[in-house]
Amino acid sequence: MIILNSVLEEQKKLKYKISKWFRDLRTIINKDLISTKRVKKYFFSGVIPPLVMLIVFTSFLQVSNPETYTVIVVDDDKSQYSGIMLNYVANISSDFAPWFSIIKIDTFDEAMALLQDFTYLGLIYIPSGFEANITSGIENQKGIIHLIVQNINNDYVKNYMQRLDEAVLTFNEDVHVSVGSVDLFAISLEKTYVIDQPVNNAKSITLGIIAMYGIICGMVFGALNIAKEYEDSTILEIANSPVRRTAYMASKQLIAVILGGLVILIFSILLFLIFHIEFRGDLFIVIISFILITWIHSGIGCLIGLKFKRTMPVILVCIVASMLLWFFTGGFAPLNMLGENVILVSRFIPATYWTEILVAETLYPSITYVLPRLLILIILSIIITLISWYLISKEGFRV
Amino acid sequence: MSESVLNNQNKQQELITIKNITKKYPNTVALEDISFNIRKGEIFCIIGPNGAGKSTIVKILTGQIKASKGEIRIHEFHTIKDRKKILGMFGLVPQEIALYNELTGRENLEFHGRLFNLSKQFMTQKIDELLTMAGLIDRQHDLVKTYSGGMKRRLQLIRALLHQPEIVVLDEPTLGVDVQSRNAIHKYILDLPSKGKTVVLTTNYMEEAERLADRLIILDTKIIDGPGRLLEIQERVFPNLIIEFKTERAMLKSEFLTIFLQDELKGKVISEKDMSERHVILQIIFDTTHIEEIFEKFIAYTKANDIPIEEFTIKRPNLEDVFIKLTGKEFRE
Repeated sequence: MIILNSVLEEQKKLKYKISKWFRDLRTIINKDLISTKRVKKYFFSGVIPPLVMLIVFTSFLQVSNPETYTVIVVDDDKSQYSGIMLNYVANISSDFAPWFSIIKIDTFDEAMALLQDFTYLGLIYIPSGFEANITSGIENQKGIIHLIVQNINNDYVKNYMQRLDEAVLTFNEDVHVSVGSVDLFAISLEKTYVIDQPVNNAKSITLGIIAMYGIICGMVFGALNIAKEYEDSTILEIANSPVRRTAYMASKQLIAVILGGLVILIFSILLFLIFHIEFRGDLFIVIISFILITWIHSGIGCLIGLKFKRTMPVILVCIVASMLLWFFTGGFAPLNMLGENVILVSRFIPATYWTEILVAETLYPSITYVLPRLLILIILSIIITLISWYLISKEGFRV
Repeated sequence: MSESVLNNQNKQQELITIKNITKKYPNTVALEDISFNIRKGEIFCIIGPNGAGKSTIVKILTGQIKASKGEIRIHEFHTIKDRKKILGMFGLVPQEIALYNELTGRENLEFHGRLFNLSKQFMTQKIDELLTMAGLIDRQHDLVKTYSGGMKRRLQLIRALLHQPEIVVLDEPTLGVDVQSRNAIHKYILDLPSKGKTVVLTTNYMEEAERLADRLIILDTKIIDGPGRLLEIQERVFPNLIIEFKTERAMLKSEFLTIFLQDELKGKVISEKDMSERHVILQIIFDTTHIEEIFEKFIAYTKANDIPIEEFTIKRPNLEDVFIKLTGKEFRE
């Protein structure tokens, strides 16, 4: 009976502790939201520096788009019909679409390697047997053309695919194949998307920029929230109250996640309207990974806030940290262009995994690609949280 | 009453025990082997110049930092090991203004109340009461950033009282405050023991300590003197008496001064202030605490010799004088 009572007592205490923890969390979040609403300069300090970067980099992307897009052509058939088809392909580049050009490569393997080097827009492959199939007189046997592209959401790729569809249609209209009295289509186009590959084009970098923008906002908000408490000495009020340090840090990080999330939502809508990015993946995974990455960066922001304790130095440090983040996650230029060392460093930066998840979920959803990255984010968020809890205990938070 | 019973009673009264506290930083020693007790219901003052370690004691006392050596206990609770238990016992008024400027006065108090898990009904009632007491009820819905320095100090003081702590720790509570607000704050502090609170106050204003302290220590990294009542410390450190009076200038060269005051009573003129062509104010210090003896002899001599005396006062050296004598340096160095 005594044991049962003590167990019940312990349960009651635990229940009280948990509910107190959540009440404290809510109290601090409410207070911070009111503060942020009333003190606009802190909100704008969190939004404007990343916004400037966003504008600079998107402008950079606009001017960096190449003037022409080249498509690799591999003709394994080398027949009369494949020659005719290649003429149609060549004619895609016209007065109306002068930006497309073609380059002929001898072997399929060589062409794939080039495609994966991000140099070309796509690969048109005419396999051997193309002409034989067209002229076989068998109803279901057609000449097959393969189009392989890296990123179907790129506007130029879409445009090219549309034109290639038209070229195939024209070919079928011009080249009559009949079985008995029935006219058949001579060829068909098969489109293949190279998935599970890093992507290099303006749209994916734009996605990366939105991703980075959200997490940098999270980081700056996290850092500012802590630094402001120190600057106004209000940390003394909290450090000398029964609020647990875990609840305090969690509230600061959650505020940053909420504000960062709000900002990223607004900009995602804007960029969706401007860049017409089509979302193809799992929204749940994107939301979870966004929360994780903003949590990690708000944690990093809190550590910056704890170290510098003043808003101005904190903003400057966050800007420098953001520049490094941009660089090492492919914001300045595609990582594969920056060399192996940069790629190696990028593997140690959480933002890399978030950017990859977002790009993959938007362009080439693949659970096998996304899950390991999600796991890394979970582990990193736990590590950062534990570090921030440890460091805040050094600051007089002993509960 | 036997001595052991008295000792037990004194022990029961001791609320805070500070034992051999030393705090070292990499390049400096902030506190050196400090020991004293604070009794329940008293206003205990820690005075010392800037950098004397007053705020360090407050931080160690409230468990914000660990001492390098020694320990502090409140009742039987250790300030570091039992921090959770002691947090509610304290109401801390920090040296800095630690208020949320973008919240209203009332919102600041409500936030504090929620952190200390006060019920809504109690909180509303207590906040109204405290705001009225501090004269801030009319400004309760204004943002704190619009408050004057004195109003912020008052708000900070009542915030520390909201969760009904047993001990109120005030770290230089009137720093940079105008005289009017300082007087108001002094009044609240003097009222606290009657409400069952024990007050620990640090200050570098001598007059504040003189006005408020039941007992005090003089601190300059280590305890220079105390703990004790101000008068006890003054008598121990500076067992002198000063008399000040207005008399005629002619008296300066009379037997009254040279033979009676200086030779017979062993007095020494420490100040001579011209008031007019005819009058001067003299300050004479005596190396004794026997005030009645000096006073009787002085009155008898002046009456018998018809010596004109006006504005007669007896003074003791103030705390600042005591501090200078003890440390050999000015208080605000």
